[in-house]
Amino acid sequence: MAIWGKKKHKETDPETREDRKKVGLIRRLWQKFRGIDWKNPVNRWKLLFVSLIGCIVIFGGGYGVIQFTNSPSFCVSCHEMTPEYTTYTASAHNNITCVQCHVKPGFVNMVTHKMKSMKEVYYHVTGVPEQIVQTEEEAISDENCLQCHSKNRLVTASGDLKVNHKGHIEEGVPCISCHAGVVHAKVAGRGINTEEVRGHYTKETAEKIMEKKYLAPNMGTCIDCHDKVNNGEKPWKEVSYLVPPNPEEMEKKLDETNKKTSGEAVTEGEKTEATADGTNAPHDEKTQDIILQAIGKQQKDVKLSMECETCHKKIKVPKNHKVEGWNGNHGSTAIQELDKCVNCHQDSKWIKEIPKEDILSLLKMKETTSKEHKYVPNVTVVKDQSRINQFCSACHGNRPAGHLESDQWLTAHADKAKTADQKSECFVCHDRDKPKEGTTDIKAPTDVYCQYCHRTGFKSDVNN
Amino acid sequence: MEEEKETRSAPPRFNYKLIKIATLTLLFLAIFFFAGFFGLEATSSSKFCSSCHEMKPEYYTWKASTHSEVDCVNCHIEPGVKNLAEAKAGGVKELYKKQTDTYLAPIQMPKDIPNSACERCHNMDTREVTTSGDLIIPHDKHLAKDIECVQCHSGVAHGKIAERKVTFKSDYGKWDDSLGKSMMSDIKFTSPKMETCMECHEARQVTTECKACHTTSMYPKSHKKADFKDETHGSLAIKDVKKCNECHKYMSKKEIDIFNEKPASMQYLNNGTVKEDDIDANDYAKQNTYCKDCHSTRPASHKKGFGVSHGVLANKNTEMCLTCHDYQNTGRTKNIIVTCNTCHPSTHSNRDWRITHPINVERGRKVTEYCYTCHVKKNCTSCHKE
Repeated sequence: MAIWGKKKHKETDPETREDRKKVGLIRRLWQKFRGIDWKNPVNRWKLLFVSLIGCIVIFGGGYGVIQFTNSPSFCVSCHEMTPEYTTYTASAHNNITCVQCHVKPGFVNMVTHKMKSMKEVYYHVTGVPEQIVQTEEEAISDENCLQCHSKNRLVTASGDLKVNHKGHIEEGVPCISCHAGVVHAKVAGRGINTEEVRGHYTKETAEKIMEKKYLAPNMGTCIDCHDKVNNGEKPWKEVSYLVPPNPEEMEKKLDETNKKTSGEAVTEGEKTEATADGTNAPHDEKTQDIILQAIGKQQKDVKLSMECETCHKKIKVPKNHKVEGWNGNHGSTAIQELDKCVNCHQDSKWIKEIPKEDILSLLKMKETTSKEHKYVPNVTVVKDQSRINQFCSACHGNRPAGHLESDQWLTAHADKAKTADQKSECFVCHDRDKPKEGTTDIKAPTDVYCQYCHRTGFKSDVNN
Repeated sequence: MEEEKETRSAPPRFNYKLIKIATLTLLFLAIFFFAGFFGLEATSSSKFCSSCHEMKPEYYTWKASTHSEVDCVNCHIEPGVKNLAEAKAGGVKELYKKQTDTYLAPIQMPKDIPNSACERCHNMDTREVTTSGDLIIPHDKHLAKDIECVQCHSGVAHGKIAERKVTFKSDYGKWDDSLGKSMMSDIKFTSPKMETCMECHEARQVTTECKACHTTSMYPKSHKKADFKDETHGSLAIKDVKKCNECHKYMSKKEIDIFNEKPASMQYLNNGTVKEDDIDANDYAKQNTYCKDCHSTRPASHKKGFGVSHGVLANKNTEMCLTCHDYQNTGRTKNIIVTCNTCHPSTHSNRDWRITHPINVERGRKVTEYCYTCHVKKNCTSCHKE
């Protein structure tokens, strides 16, 4: 009561009232403070009292603020965090907080992070980025994982996998190089956390988004890294290898390549096609090369074998593959059980980059897949698969031994293409008609098509 | 002016006292809460728990465990202020017991760790469990039946040291990091035991088939041969019946005790030496109901009139008979089918009857008057000459 009593007393004082007219509030307070007689023990006690209250407010308040801003519910109070928050709550890590992973342990790190995050507040007010992607300096360190995951733990890889975690750790491979999707199911890499779809994230949809193939390490990552190691690289040393590609930087790159190609005076449509081709062609070749290594056409003297058995306990070459001449005669089996073929031979499993997705169709598709989709033998599907799938096209593009030299084969192939069955064999690689300009049809692995020579038509009209 | 202010602001006496008291109260309150807070933090650290040497075994095994990054209190104190207060009060009680040396040894957990403690980290709704090896364990089904986590995973943090009887007072000083590591190194103490699975499955009458839990069929190659069932399995069993037992013990309806270690008292009864017991495959087949079920059906060779003709066969291969039959019913083997001495009384050559004989009889000892205290003299003397 003493303080307020005193204040009132002062205010009623005519002298100070005059002061108020002349000087500002702060100065007035300062003057009042100057005027306090420190020799008076009562004033000293008051000072102690006030500073104690001050301390309690500062420390208690500080503690409260820190606790408050550390909680996931604070993170999600900005709507742009919805995809990340929703996936997190549906993940196996939903019992820990955002900051336990995303901020390095330690008080100093925590405070620094809070300061840095002021920037996010600025962005939140001035305009949220189209897509939020982890930057290189935000990559999660092993230190964070090791707060809970003890090194004493034996790792049980799921299924038939053998993953030498100890070996990887000793080499310094960070946890996130494989386990990047464990909480947020790689929503950034899949491109499904953009501004316009943030509203689609609910508790129900989260389950559809959290697919195992994104939560678990994908084989493409293993393969990409193993291949790089075989080439003498250590890709995990680059942080950019560990975080999802930044959309803004990707755009910049695309712009640059576009500028280059636009110099060559091409039409708009062709331009984009050219860039797409330009970026994909070497990539495809690489995938094919790796696939060839995996199926035993092994490069010599590599550090890490690329064969399936390196990582899989149970994968063995099926019995029917061991028959002599399987390479030339697998077609009919493929038609019968293509669904089984792609279990192993699906090429998308072999690529590190994950394709961009569209959340609307993703959610819709999930609804319909409950009706079991079963494969019905279909020659067209198989043919198309053989042309798209890089596993198949790795060989299908090569000239078969039976085709001899082209001058010989030119006249000799008629006997081999008599019946409908025989023709269907040709049509796996060759088209009958000239591929139409600008169609989206799947291209044949060879540019030789029947009509190229047979311009006047065929004896019997069998096509497929 | 300054002088004026000074005189004016001089407080009344009661004001001075009030502010003094208020400040001091505030000061002590602040100190109290701060000390309380930090005291709580300090007494919640695992280091603090290990400061009592009684906790050394628990501390070092925990440090070597997979849960080494999780503090003691995270599992051992249930979440909630009430539980925290209770636990802290309990701690004081334990301190008293320690000082007065009145605690019960070996130190054991007063109650099991509740699921809620595990579920603070392990979210069973969103996490997929990866079992090791070829195992299939549907955790959700177990949870739905209210099986507690610790019913299977009790060894995960301390390797069942209390059960292993290594936590006695005399040994506290021996504990350090390396001992902790070695105690935790054997996976059989840290991972769930199959016995636990089987006991529970049996008690709840859930399937105990191999393929219910193992993805590989667990069917050995030797068993796939055509003659395994009728001919060769016996000779394989004689070679290593322990190997058979590894799987087939779970198929017996009765407990198999012949592999159990003999109690020390029994071990020393015979001449004061501990003998490594050789387990007889025949004895095994008579105890395991899985074997017995087949073995007690009448074989094709035992045709009508076998009672008269069996002598020739029996002389040729006595062991074969003994797979199912015994010379006599003894306390050790309770065979329900015909024994030799049903007709041929007192056939006991070749059998180690000394095991069950109530009085220790040395090997090579002759029959004496003393035997007839129990046995019928006429029967014995027909063979045994005094």
